[in-house]
Amino acid sequence: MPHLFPSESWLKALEAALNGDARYAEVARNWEGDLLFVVEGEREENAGDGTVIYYLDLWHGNCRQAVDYSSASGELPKATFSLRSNRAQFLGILTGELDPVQAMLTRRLRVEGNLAYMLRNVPVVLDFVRCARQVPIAE
Amino acid sequence: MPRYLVFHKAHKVFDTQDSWVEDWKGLRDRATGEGGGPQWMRSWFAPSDSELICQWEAPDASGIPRCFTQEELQMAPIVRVQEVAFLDASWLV
Repeated sequence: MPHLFPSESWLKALEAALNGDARYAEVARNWEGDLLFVVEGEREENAGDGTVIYYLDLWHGNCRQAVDYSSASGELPKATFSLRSNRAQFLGILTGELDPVQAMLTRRLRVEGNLAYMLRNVPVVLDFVRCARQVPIAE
Repeated sequence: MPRYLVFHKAHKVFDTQDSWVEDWKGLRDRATGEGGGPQWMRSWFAPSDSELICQWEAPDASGIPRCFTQEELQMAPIVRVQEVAFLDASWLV
């Protein structure tokens, strides 16, 4: 079933895709890094500026938690990485129109966190994107 | 223009996105091929071996290392430069 992006149903589908993927489990078996997925300027009904914030706890090939923090009033988790962009750029990556490394190198996707760790583990990053691309997105 | 593959050993990787982007933009600006000089075309990073493999076009191999800063050559020294021929699988369709 296609999911709106961003939406909590998309987030849960991504969590299921990651946890159900044997290849991701193998490729990411050594990965230790949670991340915040920040989609800027979305969802007018949210408090603040409408930014959507998803937290993904990625640990040794599993997604231990996928939580929507967009409407949360408390403190955000201190994640190892944050990936920040607008909806159009995220959609480009998720639909395969935009290469994720190109998005980073052109700053269309802004990365906060230890880039060296991410680049040394770029197969994990690319396999994460492969799994995310398996989640169908509604037009 | 002759084509080269330049193999680097990446001893250090950039810690931040900004430092990576700014450094690579600097290299691109130093290696545009303007005036018939060396031009950096594209790169592949092999994290399993910390190897960076870059495709260049240049009149000869000697000008390629001069496009790099000392800091870049310390971070990712050039291990070897090989002149190569380009072959595209699509030519066979």
